[in-house]
Amino acid sequence: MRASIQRVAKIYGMLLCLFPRDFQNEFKQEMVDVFTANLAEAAKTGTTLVVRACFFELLDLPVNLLVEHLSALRKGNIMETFSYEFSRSRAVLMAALGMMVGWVLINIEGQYIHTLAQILPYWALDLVQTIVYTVPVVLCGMMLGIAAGVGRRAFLRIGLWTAAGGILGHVVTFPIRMANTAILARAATYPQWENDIVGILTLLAVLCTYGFFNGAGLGFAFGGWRACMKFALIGLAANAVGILAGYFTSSAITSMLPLNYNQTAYIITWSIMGALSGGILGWFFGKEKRPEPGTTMRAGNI
Amino acid sequence: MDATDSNDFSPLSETTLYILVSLAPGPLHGYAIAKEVRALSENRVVLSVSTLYTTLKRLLEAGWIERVGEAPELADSGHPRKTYALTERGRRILAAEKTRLRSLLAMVQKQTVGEEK
Repeated sequence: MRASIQRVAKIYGMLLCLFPRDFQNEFKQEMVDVFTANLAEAAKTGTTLVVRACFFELLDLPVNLLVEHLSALRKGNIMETFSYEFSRSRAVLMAALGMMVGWVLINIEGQYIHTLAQILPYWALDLVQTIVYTVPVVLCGMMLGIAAGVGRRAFLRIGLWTAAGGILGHVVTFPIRMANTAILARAATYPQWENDIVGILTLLAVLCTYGFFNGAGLGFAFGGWRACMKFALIGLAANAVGILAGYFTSSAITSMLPLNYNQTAYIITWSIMGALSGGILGWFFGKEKRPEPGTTMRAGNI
Repeated sequence: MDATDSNDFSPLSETTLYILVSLAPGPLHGYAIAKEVRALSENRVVLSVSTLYTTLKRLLEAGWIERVGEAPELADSGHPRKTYALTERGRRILAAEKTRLRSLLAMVQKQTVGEEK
């Protein structure tokens, strides 16, 4: 039981990385200690109480996170995160690579989605998609983190905020995806060109919304509130360009190739799309000049 | 700060009041504050760790409480437990709240005489 408590406390410690940096520096260790003591106390009575204590903490956490971030915002302490000084070429390369790997994964998942739909209930299928669609932006953030040479703690922060952005994007796009499913169900009664237009518009709407929230999460991870909106808009633009490029190249290539090679063509073209949107993100994200020696992020100054 | 200043902060939220009351007898560390609040409220007020520390942060910033050192016993992690105590300002705020609650109770009792039977 003791080992389990330590593991849960470790996860709780990770979640506390979502608090503003100043708050973490001052209270994180104490909070983890009190949480561990609470769980140890609950464990004396039974496992049910331990689970209840965990849920109690989890339910209370979002409100307190919001309160602390708003408090930091009111104080003007919005750039409490680290600087992101690194060269543009490195940022482009890394962001593109992260996005590309993510999009390949999405495409592979796309091949199995119909099989999964037969064995999983709808909510589980949506959960799988939430996770898979969050992967590109988390990977992109991680790769940008590598480009900036951030330390272990900063990595965790990037992972958590980008994942939060991705999940929020998936939740927000739910109505659009539902509407698309309804339209697809009646697709046979409409002309092909109308279905194509609806398809691309839906894809644009969904993925640009994703891009907006993914960008917001990424911006928050790197530059706090100030960077949040900027990167949300960049994320939106990057996705729009990437989607259009990916959609048309995949349509063109698949029409030229024999049917057997269609899936390979899709993976290649959507990877190009990933690279494009990642590249655009990296282009805006990186700085014009190479950083002076010593300005690159180090684990010690986060 | 005089009594008028203290009145500016009234009424205190339930969490704040319980934390201040728990610290009135002497300094306590975070876990002990949470336990004391639970005991004082007869298990009615259970503070989550995040609520406890966001409130402690605000009280520290307002100068109502202060860190006064470390408890002799270590936490399970081996880290020292920081202890918190009421400041002079915090005691005045608490006294002002006590006066407010007393007058409120007196008013309620006066208006509801005979209803308790």
